[in-house]
Amino acid sequence: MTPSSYRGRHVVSWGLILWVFVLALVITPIFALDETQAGVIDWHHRWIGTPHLSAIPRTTRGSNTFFAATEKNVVAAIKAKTGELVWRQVLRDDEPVHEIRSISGHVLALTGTKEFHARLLDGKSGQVIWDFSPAGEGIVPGLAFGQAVTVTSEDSNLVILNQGTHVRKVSAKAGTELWHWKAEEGSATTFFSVLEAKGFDDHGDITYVLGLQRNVAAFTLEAVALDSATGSLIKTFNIKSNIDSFEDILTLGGGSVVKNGYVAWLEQDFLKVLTLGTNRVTQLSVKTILSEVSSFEELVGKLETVNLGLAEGNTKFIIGGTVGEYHDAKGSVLFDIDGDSGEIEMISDFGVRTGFSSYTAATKPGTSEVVILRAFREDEEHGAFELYDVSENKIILHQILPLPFDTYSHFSFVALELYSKGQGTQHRFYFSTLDGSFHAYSDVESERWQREEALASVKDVEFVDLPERKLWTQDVDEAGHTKAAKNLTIVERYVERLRNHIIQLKDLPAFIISYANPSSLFTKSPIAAPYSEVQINSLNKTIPPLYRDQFGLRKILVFSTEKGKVVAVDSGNKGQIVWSRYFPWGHDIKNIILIRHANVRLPPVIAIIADTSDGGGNKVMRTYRLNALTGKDFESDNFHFPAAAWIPAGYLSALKLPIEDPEQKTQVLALVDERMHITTYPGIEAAQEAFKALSDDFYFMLNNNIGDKVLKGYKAIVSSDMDRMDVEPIWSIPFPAGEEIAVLAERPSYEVMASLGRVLGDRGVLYKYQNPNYATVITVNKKPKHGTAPYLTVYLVDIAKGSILYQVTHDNVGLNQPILATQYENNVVYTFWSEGETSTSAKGYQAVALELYESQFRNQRTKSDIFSSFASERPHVIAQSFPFPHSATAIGVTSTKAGISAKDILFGLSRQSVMALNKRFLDPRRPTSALTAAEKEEMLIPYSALPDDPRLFLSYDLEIAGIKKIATSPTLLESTTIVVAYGQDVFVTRHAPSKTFDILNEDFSKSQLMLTIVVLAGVLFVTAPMMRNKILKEQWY
Amino acid sequence: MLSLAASVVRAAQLSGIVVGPTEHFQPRDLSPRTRVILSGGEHTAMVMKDGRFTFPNVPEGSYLLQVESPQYLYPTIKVHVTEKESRAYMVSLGADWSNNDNSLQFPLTLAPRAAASYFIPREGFKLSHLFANPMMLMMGFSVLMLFLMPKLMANMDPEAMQEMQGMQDAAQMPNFEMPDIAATLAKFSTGNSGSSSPASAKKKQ
Repeated sequence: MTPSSYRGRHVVSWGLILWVFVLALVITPIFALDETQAGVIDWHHRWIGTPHLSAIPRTTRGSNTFFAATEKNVVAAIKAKTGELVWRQVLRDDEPVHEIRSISGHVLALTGTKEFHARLLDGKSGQVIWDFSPAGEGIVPGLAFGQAVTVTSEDSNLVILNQGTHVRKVSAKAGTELWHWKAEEGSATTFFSVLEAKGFDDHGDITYVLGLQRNVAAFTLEAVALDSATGSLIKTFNIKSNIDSFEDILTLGGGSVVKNGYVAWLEQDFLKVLTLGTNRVTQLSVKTILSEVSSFEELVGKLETVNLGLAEGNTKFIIGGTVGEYHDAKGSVLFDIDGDSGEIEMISDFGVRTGFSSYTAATKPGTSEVVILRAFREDEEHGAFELYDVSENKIILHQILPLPFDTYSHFSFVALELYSKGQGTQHRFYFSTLDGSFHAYSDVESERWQREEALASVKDVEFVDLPERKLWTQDVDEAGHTKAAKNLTIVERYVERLRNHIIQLKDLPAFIISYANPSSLFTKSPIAAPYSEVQINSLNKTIPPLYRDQFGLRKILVFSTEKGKVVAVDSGNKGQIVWSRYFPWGHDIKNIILIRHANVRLPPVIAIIADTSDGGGNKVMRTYRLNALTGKDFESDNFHFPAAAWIPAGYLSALKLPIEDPEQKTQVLALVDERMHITTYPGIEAAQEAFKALSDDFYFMLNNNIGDKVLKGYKAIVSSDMDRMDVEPIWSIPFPAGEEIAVLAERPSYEVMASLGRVLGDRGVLYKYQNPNYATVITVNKKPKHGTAPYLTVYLVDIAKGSILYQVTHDNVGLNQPILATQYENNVVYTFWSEGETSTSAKGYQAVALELYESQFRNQRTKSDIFSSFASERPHVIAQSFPFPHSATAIGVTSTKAGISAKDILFGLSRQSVMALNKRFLDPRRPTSALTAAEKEEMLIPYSALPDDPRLFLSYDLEIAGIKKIATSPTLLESTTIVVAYGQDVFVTRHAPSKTFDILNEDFSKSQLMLTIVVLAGVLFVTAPMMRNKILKEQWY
Repeated sequence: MLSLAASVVRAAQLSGIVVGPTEHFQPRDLSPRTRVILSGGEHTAMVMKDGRFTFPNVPEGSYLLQVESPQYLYPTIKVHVTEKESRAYMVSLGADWSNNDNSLQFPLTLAPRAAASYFIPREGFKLSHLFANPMMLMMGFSVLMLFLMPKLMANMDPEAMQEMQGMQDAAQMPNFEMPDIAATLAKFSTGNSGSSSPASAKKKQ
């Protein structure tokens, strides 16, 4: 009996405990954040989109909030002084905002297509106070007008026009209908506006409904007078007129029983004004206007009306026109209507200004004096605002602000607010520009801000790894200054380094104190400062150079947007914008590809491929090459590889080739254009030759779009006689009649397969099907086959030879709900809405998991050592469907460096969250009957519906609106992946599907370790003399 | 709560009220983000300040009604909408819809089944936790044994000791399932590739 045998036993029990630990780690696949991580490892930008409508609560002291409606169907309240978002209501994708109004501090919004809604939103919280939605009324498809609202000043109720036919008076307090008037069935008149104004005869209180009656060639104006109190028809005025489009018409005046209402319109050679309630039309010939207004001397094209967006009661309006030899300027003139005679009066010639002009108007605080704002481009570097005071008849402010054309382009929307401060009047200009950003300019410098709303329409993202600091310091000395091109000897370098280290010594005490400080030891993560999406005075901000962190968690995310803007943000640092580039004049960015990773001394390079059109309407593909760290053009010395290039045909595809350009070390791309030609990028000789060498085995899919009825595969053909590379179709799969492609999924661009098979409970192995060329195609057919609802068919297609590897049909699916699919390794996951076979079968989302194996039998492999698409092997597919508890809008899958970590399927949900679901839940081998011993050994979870657990949400309770795509990127840590969800909001987080097994747990307490060491040292001091005494005693006895 | 609506497809209005977990809960404390969806988002209704929601025009048929709230988890409900009368039942995910238990009264009142908890609680640093740690307990036990064992041994008579040794040998049956870490380590450190470690340990005795 010795201690050694005990030790043996101990080790066994230790081993047991270890096993229990490992099992505990593996068996709980539910990953959840703990609260201290929230906001530390993730960040979230809330975007609203580019505003196109605004409403400002009327106050004399200046309003705190600015209400905006955007093209992303968002109604939002923004803090006027800082640009921060107070609240927003994200509406459905099919619910555009037609009009917003500020009513006693709240916002009225008219929205919808299929359903029409008039809602009053609380000005402070955005909650719906009332929602008025007439049943069965949508808007008329294809009609640009038909919705309007006017406030009646006497009883402050609303008159709402919908569908161009229904007029209702609605109580502003409760949202209840007071009366309803409907145009006659089958009437040729479509109404576009409503207005309360002075009546006629003995009718005092009249609501006028203005409509356009379709005639043979043009429209005639119709005004219907309704009794404001009861909604009964009093009289219909048919005005002799000849109007081309409703955009030529302005509704003016009114808003009160004492004020006349007017309609002004442009008709061929005349500007005409009708006084409502009469048949009196006054006119001014365009000839007279042209002769009297010097601005219109060089007029090209037609005159147009400009809506100033003034409240009811105002009669001022602007007529503008494009002038100049190059159609590059705007002239305009201000008119008013005389209250008694209804005559048109010309008030002021606004002159010619370059670029587009945007107009808006507001009234001075506490008065009804109108001030008109005109925003235009001053020059390449500046935008300008001109403020015209109508009562003083002069320009009271000419404000120039730095607004580089390259970055922002023209104004697309302006809003003006005037408020009094002390004795004077203060101004605040809100404007959006064509690049999508939204700005505020105030007299107070600290209240100027900018929101990069282009990020609300992100199309695509590319991850750029940052260079290591070591590499960075080769160009920049250790103190952070750019190194002059001096050649130091080794000794000098050594001395410099030593000196730097000595300089850095001064930070050591602070470091030790910070480390030894108990508070810093015992509180874990730092509290995250909330990042605001607002950039204040961002124009002159410099960003320090970025470098990689130890684990490669920090990256630059380069987003391409629908606005033609490319924005790079720092994935650390709460998503600070690093650089942005705007490609004006209708650049439709098609692809964004990292063609060179950060390399020794070489910065990362990104290629941007966009479709544009030349002057003649022909498509032109343009390519740009940028330094991904700075956003500047990446210039090379090679004449054949310029920073910007173009191809005279539209874009079809850009394929990454496994070739490297020998000079710049960039990855070579094959650009396929609509002429079916291939151009290598860069187009240098060496790249072309290299591509020709591999073109024999180069198969790909092209322009297979959603809605296509045929799937096609292509191959590159190099004609030997000509120096040209073409694309030739080699196979096509025509789908059965009625089927259209709904979803395409291909394998992720970054994928490493760590294990070749799946180990079963009995130690047998199912070998994974390792075809890199298979793709998932889901088609839908609106006509039911067996069931009562549409059906969908899933095809797994080998894109090299065009054969169908697997095919399955799901009957009775919903086409109004999104269908999503993703694939990786030998797995395919797709979701769809199931209507159920009969009326009693369950409805709901289904998630289907497919797993592809080489054989259905364990330990059986294909004989060949290499995989060839041309062999006839088909995979054995195991499939299972699971009820899915949420409504998903996007799907993605985690990717890690070596592919060892488990995979999580990521879902973007309509409830504005990002969910991570472990693949173990979406495992088609989950047993549906009682678990056998082997299945227990394999640790399969018994079949069940997918869990509805908020702890699965990576985004916890954040509001991640409009998720369209989820992208992931590996980091240097095998356990961790960067997840980026985008669409409208941008949400970035780190996710470890198998937990962070390769770094110390956040729970790992350094303080505990230190404490233990200190205690041990203490014990040593105490016991050492005791031991010495003991030994001494032993010597004696 | 249900009214007739004239339309090409026969349709009805569907409305109800979303409430909080307790009676004292004010509907205005519901997040402005709260939405009620039908059939996975085919129809959406915003929840008003007083908790009410309305789908103005729902074609006849059966639907799955869900409440999307960042604050609470609500039960899922199947609704059969007809022009004259609609019926609603609670359903669970993946269950068949032929079962018509758990019928709900109109107007629909949707009460949460739980608050949404997104986080797992984190254990802070506590001295008691440190000592409750199994590793620590084992260490403590080992240290204790180190002191107690010689004393116990001294008091034990030789026969009992013999017996115990025999028991221990029986217990040292080779265990194939569990790799013997001690043996592997010993082998590794000594380079001894011959006999198994219990034997060598015995020899040393």
